[in-house]
Amino acid sequence: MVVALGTAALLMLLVVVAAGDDAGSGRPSGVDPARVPPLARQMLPVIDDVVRRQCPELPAVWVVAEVMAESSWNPHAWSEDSNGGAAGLYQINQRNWVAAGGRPWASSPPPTSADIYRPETQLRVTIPWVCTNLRAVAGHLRATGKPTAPLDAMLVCHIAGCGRVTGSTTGVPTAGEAGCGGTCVGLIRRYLDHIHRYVDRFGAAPAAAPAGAE
Amino acid sequence: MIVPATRGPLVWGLVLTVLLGGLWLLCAGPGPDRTPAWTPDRGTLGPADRDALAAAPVDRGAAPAGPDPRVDFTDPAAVAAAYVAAGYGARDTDAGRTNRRAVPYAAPSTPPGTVGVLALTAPPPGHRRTAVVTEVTEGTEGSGGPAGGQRGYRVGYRLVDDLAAQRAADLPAGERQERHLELLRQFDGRWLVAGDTADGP
Repeated sequence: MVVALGTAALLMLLVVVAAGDDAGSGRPSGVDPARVPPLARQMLPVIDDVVRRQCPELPAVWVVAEVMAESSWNPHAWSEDSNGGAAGLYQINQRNWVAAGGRPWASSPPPTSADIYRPETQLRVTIPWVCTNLRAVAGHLRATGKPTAPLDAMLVCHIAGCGRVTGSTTGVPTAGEAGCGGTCVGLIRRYLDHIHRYVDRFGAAPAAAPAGAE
Repeated sequence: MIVPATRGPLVWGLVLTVLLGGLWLLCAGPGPDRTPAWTPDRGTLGPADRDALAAAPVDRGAAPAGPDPRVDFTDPAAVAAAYVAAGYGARDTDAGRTNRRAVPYAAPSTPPGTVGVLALTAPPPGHRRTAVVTEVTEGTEGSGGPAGGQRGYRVGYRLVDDLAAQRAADLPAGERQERHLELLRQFDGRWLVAGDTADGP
């Protein structure tokens, strides 16, 4: 009798723990947490929260993939460039950071204590910024009939400027379009290709359809 | 250790529970922590690549002056129309900046409220582009949320580069465009725009 009770308790424990594991697996986000960098896994609840409430048309896995391409999920990444440098997970320059609602930097590069290096702050400021880019280029693509997918145009906007979307025939420039030469075109292509690969790598397999579902 | 005979089954039950639990942990692992170690690689593009791309930065637009006093914030359709007129009209000074003139009609902590609208193109110097709202249609996807505090609207509009000249000469306006807005009722009864997309849900 007591052995049976002990076994039943064990089974209940297993069911409860397994259910908790499923609940924390991040399946709703479309991201497989086992395949992403540790910081990305840690930030999944933040990403899910921001995209669900503020930008449902931006898949969370695209956020994880774009940050991977930008900084390899290094929150303290810094790149010197002609725009005054790019900082943090999304490698965003100061003018875009301020346009997104972030605080101006005290110096360039920002001090290590700057909020742009805090992963949650960076994501909560920059995802709405990226979303605003997505919504702007989606409207442009729709109005002009350009064939590029809005998410790809969003990437072009982020890495090369939205003028490369509006100034090109398809939304992704070819050599000679929108002030983009061969090198520029190749870099944009590489950026898009890498992010597509990351989307495939980090994406969760679609959940099995429930019995009876079409 | 001496175990009274009457408690023997209880002890064996506990031992069995611990053994099976340990076996399960060994087989299944502790869950999220079983991921293999991640080796970071470099970002896709280096500083020289970013210089070669020369992406034009965007500056934050000027703070909005305030809402049009004629707009009734208890009327979500009126707020939707005012938002599109303010957000999608453009001034020559919008080049390279966000347009924040629609922020007074946008909910806090949303992209329309914190960022504004990104003006992809601006009219030439000395000109102003007007977004003339042609229709506001409530979407069937709206009216959800707690106590019906959410509404969806499709707002059609046309862009006119010089409204006065266009009206004087009866010139055709630009192609019809539309935005799909999600409005949320605030605690004070005002309706504000929380979502703004090119395509409906």
